Amino acid sequence: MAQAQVEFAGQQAAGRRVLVAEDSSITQDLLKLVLTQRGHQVDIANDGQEALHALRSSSYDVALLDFHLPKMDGLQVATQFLAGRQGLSRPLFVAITGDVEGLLKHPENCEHFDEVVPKPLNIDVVCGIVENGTETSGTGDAAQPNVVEMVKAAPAEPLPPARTAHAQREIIQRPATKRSAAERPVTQTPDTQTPDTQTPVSPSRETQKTVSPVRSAIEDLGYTFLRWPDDFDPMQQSARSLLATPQPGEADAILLCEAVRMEDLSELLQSHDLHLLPIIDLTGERSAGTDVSGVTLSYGETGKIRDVIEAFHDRRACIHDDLLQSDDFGDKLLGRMFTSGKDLIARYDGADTGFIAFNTIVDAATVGLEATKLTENGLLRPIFFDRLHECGHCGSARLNVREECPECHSANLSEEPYLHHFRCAYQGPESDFRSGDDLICPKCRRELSHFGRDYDKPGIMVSCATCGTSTSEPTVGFVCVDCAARSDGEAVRTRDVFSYALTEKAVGYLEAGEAFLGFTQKSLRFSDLPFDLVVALNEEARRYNQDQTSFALLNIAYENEREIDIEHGPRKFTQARDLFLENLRAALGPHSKVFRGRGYDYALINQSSPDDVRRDMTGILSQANAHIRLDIGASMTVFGPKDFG
Amino acid sequence: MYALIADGFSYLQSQSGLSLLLLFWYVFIFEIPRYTVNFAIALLFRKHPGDMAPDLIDGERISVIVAGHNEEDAIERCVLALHEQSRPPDEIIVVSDGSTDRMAEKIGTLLRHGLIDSAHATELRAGKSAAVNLADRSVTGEIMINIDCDCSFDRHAFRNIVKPFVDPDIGAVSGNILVRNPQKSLVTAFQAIEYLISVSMGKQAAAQLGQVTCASGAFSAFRQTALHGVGGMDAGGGEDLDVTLRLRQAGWKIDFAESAICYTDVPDTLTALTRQRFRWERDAVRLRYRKHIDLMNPFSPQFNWVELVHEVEFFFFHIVAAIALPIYLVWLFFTYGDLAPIVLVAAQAGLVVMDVFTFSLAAIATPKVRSRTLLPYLLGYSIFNGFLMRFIRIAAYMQEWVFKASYKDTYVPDKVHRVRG
Ligand SMILES: [Zn+2]
Ligand SMILES: [Zn+2]
Ligand SMILES: [Zn+2]
Repeated sequence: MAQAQVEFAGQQAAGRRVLVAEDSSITQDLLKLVLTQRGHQVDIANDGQEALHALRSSSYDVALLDFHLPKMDGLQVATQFLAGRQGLSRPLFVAITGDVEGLLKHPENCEHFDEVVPKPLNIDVVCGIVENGTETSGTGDAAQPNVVEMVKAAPAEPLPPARTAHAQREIIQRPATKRSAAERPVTQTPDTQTPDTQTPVSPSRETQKTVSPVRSAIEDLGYTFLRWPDDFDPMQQSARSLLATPQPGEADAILLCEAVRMEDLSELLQSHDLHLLPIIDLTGERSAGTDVSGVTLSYGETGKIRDVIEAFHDRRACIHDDLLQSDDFGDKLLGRMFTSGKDLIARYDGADTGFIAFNTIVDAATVGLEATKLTENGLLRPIFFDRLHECGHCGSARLNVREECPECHSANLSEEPYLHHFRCAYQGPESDFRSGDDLICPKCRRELSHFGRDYDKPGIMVSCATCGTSTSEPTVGFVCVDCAARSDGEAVRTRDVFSYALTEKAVGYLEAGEAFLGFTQKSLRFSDLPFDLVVALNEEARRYNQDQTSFALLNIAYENEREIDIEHGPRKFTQARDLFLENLRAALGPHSKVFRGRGYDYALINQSSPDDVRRDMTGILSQANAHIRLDIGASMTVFGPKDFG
Repeated sequence: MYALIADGFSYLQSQSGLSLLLLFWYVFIFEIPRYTVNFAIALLFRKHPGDMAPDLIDGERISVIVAGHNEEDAIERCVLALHEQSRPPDEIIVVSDGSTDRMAEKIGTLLRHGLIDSAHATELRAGKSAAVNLADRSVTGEIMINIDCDCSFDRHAFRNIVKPFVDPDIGAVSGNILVRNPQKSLVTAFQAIEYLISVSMGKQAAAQLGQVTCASGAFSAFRQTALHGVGGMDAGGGEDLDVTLRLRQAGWKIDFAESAICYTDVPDTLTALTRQRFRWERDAVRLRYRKHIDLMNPFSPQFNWVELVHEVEFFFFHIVAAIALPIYLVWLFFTYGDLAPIVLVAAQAGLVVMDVFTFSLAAIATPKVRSRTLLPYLLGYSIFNGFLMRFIRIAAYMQEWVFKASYKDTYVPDKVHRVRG
């Protein structure tokens, strides 16, 4: 329930002044509640006129405008407010709409709105925009205050470099409906003064450079490629921005034309839901993390690229929507493994302090951590790779192993055989006996002339040149290459590294979505909850904090959804689910609210303790299942205020 | 039979003092003086001054050398026990002398765990002397204690064994070795009595007279300057006796710390005991009458009167007594025929009385030992000590003199036998 707790506790960001123009009272309540809890100052406007008035009378950092407002729509509010305000500070305009397509039909929309947020609202996205997106609104390029980033409606204008920082939530729908040459950005950024002369097929700054025949051949395959670095913001590579964002499903592959840092690439691909695309390497440098190398192909072999892209297409088509839309890193990792058709294979990588890299685009530490969780959930099967020794100080696995002096830990050891003089029992290093070419016993001064009769060499003595100690048992020590910390061979920490393969369960989950796992597999994820439920939960939580009024949240999972879908079609299941919820509403009575979710449904019961509800669970379930002919396999998990931290 | 015994007693009763002396000449020559000396010393010197001495000043470092061959089972317990001492050693050095078991690995582990300070493992067995010499290189303490792996020590053993070193003339101190397994068999019970009388009390007596001749290899302490002065250990066996004799030759005093108690398992079968004593006696003869014969030669620069007294004592009471015994028996039977057994029984009866008396003194001198359980065995002790041990000694001396057998025993590697002096 950690995620839920974070939401309730509210991450305190620097307070912003936010105007919410929204005609739905639920949405108003929610936005006000959540944003206020996070330390922002929120004003509400019920219609367009109020919104315009508010904008003119006070100054805001962010204006969240519903596109369809009574009296005056969001676009008109923005247009009228901005008219004649060129060069003055303005809020960040965010359009809220259920009809992204409709909004983007009008080119002027793109001039006035900085962000478009689809309905139903994702609270994380809104918070992200409010908290990260406002930084440029007041200080942006005064001459060009309202350049819409993605669709360059005004060609030949320089790209405002800082405008991209908040573009990190992948669910934000970017206005990019058309991919015509006219809409292509003219990237006259200060570092590349190249005129835009390329064709629509390869709108690249690189066209003036020599393009290899293999690359041309690949590009001629007829797929839509995203090219690194051309199609990504040159100024903001590390800020994970994308110049040309295709609609989901539009791009077919990523083409790496230049070397890229793994962190940049992985964040970029994850944040734009591009992680399920094949990565074609044209640099020859990242062959392990990429799916196919164009460098090693000869001119006639580009069919291999086609095969890879098609295979990705086919497998991507098998993935359930739950997974395609999931925000969860684990889901993305599973999706990537499934789509690429490759297990997660560990290999040694001296460049990383963890000493390990996986054949994927994410760093090994992150992969290892997530894969461990997935293994616990039975979604990945670990295959032992190696046991690494780790620095106890900094965690690096780049250790130097050496024999060292047990006294002073110096590695400056030298080996010397020692001699045993039988006659007098003197036993010491050979150097004690050396006298020119002869061996003279230092104790009895006799000459040792016959090996085996006078003397022998019973063993090796190791002596330390640093402290002078001699021993036959040097110890093993580890020295961290990264932080120079030293540890004893026996005390050094070890870490096991595994490769991972998808389990059958994981494949089922990927193909059938969350319903396959049943609710118990996943913890309650706050961001998955329906919007109005979040509002209601906030209210309940506040009441609980005030006077300890308890509440219970039922999470309803349908185990048999997939089977019914297959056997009777999705419509039958929906009908049964509706009936179930109707029955449940009746069973729970007036102190409850039932919410419809995507994978799960929810019921919130006021003034009840979760234990009471658990006790009545059998009765509730049987009432709710009444008159339903299909067994939808409904199960309920009960959460109480304590589960929210 | 009864008549014979009655005759015997009446015969003995009828003898005058002089004729009794003639009859029991062996007892009067070899047994009585030995006991008398012991009584006298035990009564005259009640407490050994070394025990009164203060502990060594704290700055004095004590190093322990444990040299062993194939002691993988014993070494860990042995090392752990060293840390239990009331005066723990400042340094522990372990040598695995060509062990073929896992002793080398074991001591490596002990080293890594910081339980010992230095570990050496040789590939080839070199013998205890060479192993100790090797370990001696690493010794940083001024006092070096040399122990056997299979011994166990009283908590205060180390504190007590280093006390005598307050006397700067002391070069080595022998620990008091007692029998750990007296209940094991009749043979071990007799040895327990023997150790108590001859080692514990005998060495106390010898210490009073400055005549301690063997700093036991199982537990003794050396002053490093003294040990280095005589070149360390020489090739074995009997290296403990050897190094003691050399230290004495060099003018060092040897002491005995009766309160530095160490327990060891003694051989529990007659065969094993015989083999052990053969080794000891042969080594003693080899060292005293071959290697260190100078000690008795008045024309040698090594000669000194104290050593001569000691050597004569050993010669007379060990060697002559052993050889005289069969002569006496033959003479007795030849002269008295049927009466001879009666005479022997009477002699034994007298010896038992003296044994009880001696044993009591020894038990008082070494209160640590639960001596009461050994009392019944005193009845047979004089047979064990007076006959059995002497015959073993005779056999060993014969072997050594005639065949130089000590050059063949397996206690020391063959390569060493072939060349040592
Ligand atoms: Zn480190
Ligand atoms: Zn030599
Ligand atoms: Zn060193």
